[in-house]
Amino acid sequence: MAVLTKADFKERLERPITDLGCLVITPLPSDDVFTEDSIDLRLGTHFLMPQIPPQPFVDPGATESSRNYLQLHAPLGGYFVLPAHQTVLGATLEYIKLPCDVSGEILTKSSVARTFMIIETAPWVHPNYRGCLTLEIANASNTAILLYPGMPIGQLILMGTSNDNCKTDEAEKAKKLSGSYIGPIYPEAPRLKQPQAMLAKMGITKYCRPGVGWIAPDEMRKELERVSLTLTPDEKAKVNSVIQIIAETGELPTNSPALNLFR
Amino acid sequence: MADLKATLRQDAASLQQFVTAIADHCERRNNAAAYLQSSERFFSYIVKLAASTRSFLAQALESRTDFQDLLDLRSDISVLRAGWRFLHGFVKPVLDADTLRLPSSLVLGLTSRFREIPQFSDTEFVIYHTDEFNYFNVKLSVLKPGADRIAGLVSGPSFPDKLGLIGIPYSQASSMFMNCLIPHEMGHHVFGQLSLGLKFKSQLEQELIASFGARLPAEARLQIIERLAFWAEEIFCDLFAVRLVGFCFSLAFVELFDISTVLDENSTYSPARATGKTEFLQYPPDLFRLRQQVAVLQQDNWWSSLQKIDSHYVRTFEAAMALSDKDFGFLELSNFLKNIDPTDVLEAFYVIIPTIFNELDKNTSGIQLGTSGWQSTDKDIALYLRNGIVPSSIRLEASGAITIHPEPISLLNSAYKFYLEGLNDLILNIEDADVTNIADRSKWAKKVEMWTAKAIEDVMLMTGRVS
Repeated sequence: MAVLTKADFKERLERPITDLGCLVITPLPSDDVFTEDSIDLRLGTHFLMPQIPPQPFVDPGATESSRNYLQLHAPLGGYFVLPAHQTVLGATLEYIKLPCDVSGEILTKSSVARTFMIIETAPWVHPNYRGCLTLEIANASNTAILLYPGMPIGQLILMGTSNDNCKTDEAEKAKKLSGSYIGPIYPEAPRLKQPQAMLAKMGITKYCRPGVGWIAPDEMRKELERVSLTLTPDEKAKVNSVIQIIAETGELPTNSPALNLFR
Repeated sequence: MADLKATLRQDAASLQQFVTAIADHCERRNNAAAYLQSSERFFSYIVKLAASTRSFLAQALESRTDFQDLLDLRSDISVLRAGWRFLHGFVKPVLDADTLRLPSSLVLGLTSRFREIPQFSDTEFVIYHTDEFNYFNVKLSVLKPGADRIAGLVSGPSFPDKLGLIGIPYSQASSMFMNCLIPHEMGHHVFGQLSLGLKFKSQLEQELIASFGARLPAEARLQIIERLAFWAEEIFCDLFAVRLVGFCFSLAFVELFDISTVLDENSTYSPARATGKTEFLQYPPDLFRLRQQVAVLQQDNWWSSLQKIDSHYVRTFEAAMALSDKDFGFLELSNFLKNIDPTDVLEAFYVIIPTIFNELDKNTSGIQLGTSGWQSTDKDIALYLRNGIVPSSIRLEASGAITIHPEPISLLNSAYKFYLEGLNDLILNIEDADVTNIADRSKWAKKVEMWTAKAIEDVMLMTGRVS
C-alpha cells in the first residue's frame, strides 16, 4: 500500500500498453512536473457551470443532470472567471489511465489552495480508471479568481493496492472496463441514480417527494393495476394518453412502469 | 437639390443603422463564447470596416455641395449597402461556430497540414455554420473584390489576405470523421488562389474545338466549358483532399453522401442501385469521383492498407474502380448539345483528367505524404483506442519502445479505420455494452471521435503548433 515514488511513476509510464500495470498520462508531462511522490496535473479547457434549476433544489435522479449546466470553453491562452463563492466543474488537461493495482488521489496544489480554491471533493481514483479527471472546483474566497487553462492545479498521488499481481493475472486481463464514467475528455455532469431503488434495497418502500408527499410505489402500482382492470379500452386509452403527456414533460421517469400500465 | 440631400441623409442614416447592427453582433458577442483566431480576425475586420463606413457616412454629406457629387454619393451608398448585405450573410454563421460548436482541434490540425504547402504557409480558415447539408468554400475571387469595394469607398481595411471561409453543416459541428471533408473545401481555396480554372478552361476550349469544330457554336462551347471546368475543379479538390489527409476523406465522402447504397445485400455492385451516382449532372458522379480518389490513394500508398479493411465502404471503392469511362453518362441534353453526342463531350473532359493530376502533383510537391508516418503508428494507435486511451503519446513497441506523438493525419486515418473495423473490440471490452445495440455503438463511436479530437489537440500542443 505504499505511495508510488517518482521512480515508480516513471517505471510504470515506460511499460507497454498491454501491461495491465502500465500508467498513462497524456499529454506526457515534462520532468519538472514530478515531485518525489506525486505529479502535477493541469487545468483543462472545458467547464460546466451549474445553472439555477427551475425548482429550488436538485432532486437526484428526477431531472436530467446535464441540463443543469452551461458548457463553456476557455482555450489555452484564455481564462475563466470563477466568481466568489461559486462552483464549476472542470477537468484535468491530462488524460490518465491508472494501473490495475494502483489507486490514486488528486489533491489541490498548495499554492492554489492558499487562494481558498478547492478543486476536488471526490478525490479518489480507482484502479484501471481512464479519462480526464473531473474537478469540482469551488471558490471559497471572497473575491473572483481567474482560472487559466493549462495552469498546474492539482497533484496526483498514487498508491499500490494489495492486488499487485494483476500484471500476470489472466482473470484480471479478461475483466471488462466498468464504471459510470469511462474515457471522458471533458468534465462530466453527475449521473445521479434515483434514491428509490437504493431505498428499496434497504427494505424501505415509502418515501417522500417534494410537492407530492409520501409515496408507496408498490401500493400505488397495485392500486393502478386494480383500476386498470375496471376500465374500458377507450378509458384506458385516455388515461394512457395523459400518462404519455406527463412523461413527455419530464415529470415521469422514462423507465416508469406506469408508461405501459394503461396501454 | 435640398430634397436630394434630405433623401441622402435618410439613406445614409439607414445604412449606418444596418452597419452598426452587424458590427454590434461582432463586438458585443456572448462573452462566454470562444472563437478560433481566424474567426477573431474576421470579426476584427468587420468591426474596423464598419467604423470606417460610419465615419465615411458621417462626413460624406457635409463635404458635397455639387449636384453631381450628391448623385455620386447616392450611387456610393447603394454600393455600400449591397456590399454590407453580402457580408451580412457571413457574420451570424461565423458567430454560431464558436469553439464549442466546431471540431476546433481538427480545424487546427488540418490548417497546420495545409500550411505545409509552401505557397500557403500563412493561410487561415474561418469556419462557419451552414444550414445546408453540404460543405462550402467561399470563393475569395468573389468575396474579396466585393468587400474591398466597400473598403475603397470608405478608406477602410481591405479583406484580410490569406483568409479563407469554409462552411460546414451545423449538424456535423462536433463530428471528427465527417469533417474530414473540410480539406476538399481547402482544395477550392487552392484552386481559386492559383487560378487553375483558367488553365483548365483553356485546355478544354482547345479540346472542344478539336473535337467538334463548327458543329459547336461559340456560345454553346462557352457554356460547356464552364460546366466541364466546374467538374474539373471538383475532381481537383477531391484529389487534393486525399493528398492532404489520406483515405479518411474518401471514407467520409462515402459515408456522408451514402454512396455505399450502390451495393446490394451481398456487398456487390448493383447498377440498378447506382442510379444518380454514375451520371454527370451539375457535379461529376460520385462513383467517378471515387475512382479518381482511388488513383491518388494508390499513388500515395494508402490503397494497399485500405483495401484490407472489412467494410462496405471499401467495397464501394472497389465497385467504383471496376467501372470504366463508358459506364458514366452525361444525361443533360440541353439545347446547346443539339447535333452533338454527349459521350463525345465526356471524352473531351476525360482528356484533361491527367492535367488535373499533374496540377495536383505540382502544387502539393512541397508536402510530405502522410502514409509512412501512418503506417508506422497505425497498429499502436488502434491498440490505444481499443483500450480506451487517448493516443497522443504512443509507445512504439516494435521500434524499440520509443514514445512519439503521431501526426494528426495518422490519428485521423487510424481512428477512422478503427471505427470501421475495431469498434466491436472496444465495445466487447466494456461492461454492460452490447455490440448489437445501436445506441451503444453510437455512444462508443462518439467516444472514439472524442479521443481522437483530444489526441490531435494534445499533439498540436506538444509540438508547439498552438499559438
